[in-house]
Amino acid sequence: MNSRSSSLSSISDLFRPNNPKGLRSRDLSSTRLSVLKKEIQTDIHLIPLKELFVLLGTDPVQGLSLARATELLEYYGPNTLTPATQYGWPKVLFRSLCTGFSILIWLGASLCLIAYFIETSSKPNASHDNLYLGCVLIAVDIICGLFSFYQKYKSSKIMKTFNSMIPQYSTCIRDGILNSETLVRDLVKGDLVKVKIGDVIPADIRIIDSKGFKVDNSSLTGESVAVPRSNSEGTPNILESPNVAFFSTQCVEGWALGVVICCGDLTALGRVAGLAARLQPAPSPLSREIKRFMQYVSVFALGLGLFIASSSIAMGYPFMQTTVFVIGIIVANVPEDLLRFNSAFIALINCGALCSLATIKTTGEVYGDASETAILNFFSKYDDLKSIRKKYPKIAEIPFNSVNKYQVSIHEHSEASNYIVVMKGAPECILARCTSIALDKSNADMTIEIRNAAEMACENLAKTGERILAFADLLLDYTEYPLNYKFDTDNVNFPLQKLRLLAIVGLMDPPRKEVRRSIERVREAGVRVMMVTGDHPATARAVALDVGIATTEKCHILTGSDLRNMTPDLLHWTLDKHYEIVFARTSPTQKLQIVEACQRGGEVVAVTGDGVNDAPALRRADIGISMGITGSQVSKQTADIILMDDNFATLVTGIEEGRKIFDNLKKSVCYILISNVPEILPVLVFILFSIPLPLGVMTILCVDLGTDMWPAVSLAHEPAESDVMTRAPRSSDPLVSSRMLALVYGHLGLIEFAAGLFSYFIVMAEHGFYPAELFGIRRRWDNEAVNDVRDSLGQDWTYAERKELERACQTTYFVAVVVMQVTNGIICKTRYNSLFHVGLRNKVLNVGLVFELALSCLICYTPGINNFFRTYPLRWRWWLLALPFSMLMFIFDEFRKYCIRKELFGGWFNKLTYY
Amino acid sequence: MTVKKRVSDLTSLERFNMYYKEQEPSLPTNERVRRFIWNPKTKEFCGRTGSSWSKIALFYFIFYAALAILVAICMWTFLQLLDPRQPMWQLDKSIIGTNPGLGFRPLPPEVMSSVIWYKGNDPGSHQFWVKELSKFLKAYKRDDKKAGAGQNIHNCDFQHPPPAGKVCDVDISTWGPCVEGNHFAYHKSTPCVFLKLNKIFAWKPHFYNSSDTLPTAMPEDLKNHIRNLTAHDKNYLNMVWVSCEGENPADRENIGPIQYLPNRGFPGYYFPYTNQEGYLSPLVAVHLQRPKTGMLINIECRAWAHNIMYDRHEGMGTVHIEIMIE
Repeated sequence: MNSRSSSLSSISDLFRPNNPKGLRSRDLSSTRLSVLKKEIQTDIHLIPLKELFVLLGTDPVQGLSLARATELLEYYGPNTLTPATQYGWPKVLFRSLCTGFSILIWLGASLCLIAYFIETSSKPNASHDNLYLGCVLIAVDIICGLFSFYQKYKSSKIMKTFNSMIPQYSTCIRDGILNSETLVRDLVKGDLVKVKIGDVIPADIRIIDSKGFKVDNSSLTGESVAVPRSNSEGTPNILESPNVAFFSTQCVEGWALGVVICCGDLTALGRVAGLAARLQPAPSPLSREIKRFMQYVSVFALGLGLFIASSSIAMGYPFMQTTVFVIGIIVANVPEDLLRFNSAFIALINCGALCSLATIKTTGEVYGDASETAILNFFSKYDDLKSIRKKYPKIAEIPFNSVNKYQVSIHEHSEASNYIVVMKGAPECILARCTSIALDKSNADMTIEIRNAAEMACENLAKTGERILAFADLLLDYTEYPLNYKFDTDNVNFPLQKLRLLAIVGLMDPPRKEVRRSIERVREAGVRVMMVTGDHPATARAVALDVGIATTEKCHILTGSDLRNMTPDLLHWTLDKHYEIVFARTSPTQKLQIVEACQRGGEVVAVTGDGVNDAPALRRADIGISMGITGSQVSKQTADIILMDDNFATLVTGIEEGRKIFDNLKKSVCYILISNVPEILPVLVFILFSIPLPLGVMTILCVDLGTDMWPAVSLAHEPAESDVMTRAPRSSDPLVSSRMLALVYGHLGLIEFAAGLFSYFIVMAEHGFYPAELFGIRRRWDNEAVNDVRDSLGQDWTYAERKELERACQTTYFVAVVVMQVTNGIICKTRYNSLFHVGLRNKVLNVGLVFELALSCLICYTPGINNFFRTYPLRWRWWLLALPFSMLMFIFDEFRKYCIRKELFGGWFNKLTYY
Repeated sequence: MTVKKRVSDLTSLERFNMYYKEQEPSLPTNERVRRFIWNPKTKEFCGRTGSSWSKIALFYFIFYAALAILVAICMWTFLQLLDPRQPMWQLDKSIIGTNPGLGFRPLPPEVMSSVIWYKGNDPGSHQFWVKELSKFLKAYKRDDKKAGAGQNIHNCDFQHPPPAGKVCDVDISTWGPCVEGNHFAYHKSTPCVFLKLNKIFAWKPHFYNSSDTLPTAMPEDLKNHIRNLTAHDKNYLNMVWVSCEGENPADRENIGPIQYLPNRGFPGYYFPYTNQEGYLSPLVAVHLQRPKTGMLINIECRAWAHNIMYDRHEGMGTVHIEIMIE
């Protein structure tokens, strides 16, 4: 035996059950994956049969002995597809509860609880604030965690679908006895199996003997073509070899006797299934972007927390106070964690919109078979269909099927009182049956020259991507077939040979024009389009030229055999070099390789496909898109998006929608981030200037988890801005750019902070504490033993009175932030256009802004609730304090957007703040 | 004039070249960082050239200055609307309410602690408290040399409440042992603690107008004191009474006899406080005459009037003092 078969045997070792080689189950799974990613390298279909029988230890007549079969079954495991190793649910749950930012929230929650217990043990009547806060934080964490757990732990159905393609029983010869009820799962390498018409092939078999044996590979390749298989010479590529029939394909004609050469996971189907199930699907670009954002936020929050903690300890604040600061910082960043939750929500809303949009499109007109319609359309230009149908009533019909590849109907010619057999179908079938040809007004015999000319014509038409049909007829002799002759279409009792060739017609697929337009639009959006097909290179080129994937004849075409000889680096380089590339005759693994090569450049790859063999590529792609009507079950399950109308044009809408989503997500993030600034800065002011704390942790929670939520989500309903489809794809356009940060932290956030601080100072002043009095007051203010802190007007405040005043001021600050966030929500509606141009047409947002105000009223004025959140029923006039700043913010932002549109000051604002 | 090509006018190949420009070979991280900090090719420091940095600094300076000016303008406008002599919200309308608390001096220096702790035989340790009290009482000292000082001060008594624009004097110089010259009796391990009623703008006490209707919660000795005092002079009913007691039975034993100077309360003619020029809070010096040493003594002092509610937790009408003398 040569090296190839020895490597094969090591592969089969790898796929044995009960943990071969003592590998850990996860290592085993990844080793299996890396093995599956390689092309099938085998010569098992090339070596002479005799050698094969020796290799497999089987007998061509008797088959395996029962004992040997049992032994092999024991060793190699059953002939089924093994599911990929998966993490148990506790692990998945644990991971979704403790990833990235949630750890920080857990930290915050535990700090709260620790602070609470320290307080309760050291003071008789400690407040329950920290306990409440800790509980709220834990609740937030658990809700978010459970949500992402639910998303992650949708148990993979892929393998189940593959397994449903496999039959239960097969006919197998062992010990010379033919058993037609052998369980397919019990088959082993070397078994002799017999398949007949209608059977599903129970394993990869090499044909020993056959008669008229044809298989339909559609379950594997997606193309419904019956290909003949027999005991003949094999070709190097096992997938095209005519002496091998594959697991899960169907026998549509004849019968065959074969020997099992591959079982279970090692079959061609098993490899595709194994790949599809084991591949880690690339996360969608959006979720990747969000993940990256979350990482930044975690680092930011942690860094800021540490900074504040260390500086407050350095400035002599006690541990408890420091803890409160750190909790405050963490809480201020909570909404970013909720973005995880939000984004899934946003994606859901928009996905629904995309799908329903697609279904509306299909409910237009109902077409019949496209090619029939085309022929009738063409014909109706020359003659009246109705009169002809009247003249020649149809008597019998053999409908088209993929095996015959022709359709026959018999018509009565009432005037001549005889019958005509007419046939249409694939030209190679029809030409083979023709002996004469209809010329202008006479008949001529089919000579070799004419036949060659006809074949040439077919080939030329095929090259341009046209679908070809040939037409032929035969006049039946009325003596032999008199009127009222009973035609039997099942057992054909009339001739289908010696026909007269009438015409060869080339048909263009009508949807292609639409596809062409769509591809142009997709390209306009900066998306690169490539074609990957299992078809012949010539056909592929023609189709590519036709739909506009290739714009010149010189488009680069790579075939599967070219790919086989390419290193991944070379492939990557080729992809870089050529803009328009068509891949032809590719195997499932190669499709996967192409996707991975594209992803190496850091680009976002979307793949459309419908066949089982596309499943690995669909799974690996950033965005897998399957066809809803023609797509196989497996491809639908591996895809991220299913096009319900199979229409490529929907993709354009999809891209548009996707960009809109991304834009709107940016707006949401901007909106959320801006409220971060007035939440974090009070702590800094508190530490630096020793004024009473302007914003409490509970009120921060109110903003983050309450008032901000609806407006942030509803920004997703903003209509797309005018330039979405003319922009470059966003490989260099992150969700949160430095420009957005400059805008948020450098501009708008500070205005909001100024509004809050101003309101706070005013309420203090109205009660007697003028701003100058407040600086440096903290030590006395927060000291419970001091019962008389003097304000600017000489009044003495007890601790409880001071804290009540502080609560009122913090609530005013909160209300100011809410009012500013309402303005902010209006501002964030656009990144570019003027608000006067866009208007307030987003109803969801409008309701959201009203909701925001109503909720803050509820938080302030409801007894009990305001006690829980440490808020205070404010005087109505204090709501107006933020208005000047709200106007400033609006005017400044309109000015900024105006400058961006006109590129004033040398595009200053464009460069600085256009996110 | 050059016509700028719109993106949609480009052919797909031009677009390709636009979006997929040939990338420069990526540098190692440390080289990238160095290049970022100072790029000699473009003369960029941290991604910006000198002129770019100065421009952005100028921009932010102007922006923040404008923001600060707006805050200042708003603040100024609002503060102009306020009366500088009286708070905008008073009594019930204000958060301060109508229920004054009590304050005491000297205040312990530590945060969150209310223990007056010192060693009786160590002058160094009680010096701090004496100094604190001297500092606090400085405002009460009549300084004749200072021009204009004390010119609106009026010697009040129950018959002679202060005329408009005048304030009543608080003469601390005659308060027996609790004077600065005597180190407020700290060195004798019999410390004085000064109590003051919190000032609330325009607040007027409602006095107990008869010695027969005193509340039951009032300590017996105070009741007796009031009865004795008012039997002699009815005017004394116009007082906000003060009582100090040990919080727990043990404290009550340890605290020993207490002397209140100059009166056992705040005379009514000091009220209401309306931010008069030179107003001085009336004081009561509480002299612990024989406190037990080496023990922590918890003292609760209360102010008594019809409209002073009592809530220990909220600190209403009461103050908590801890003393420890070694």
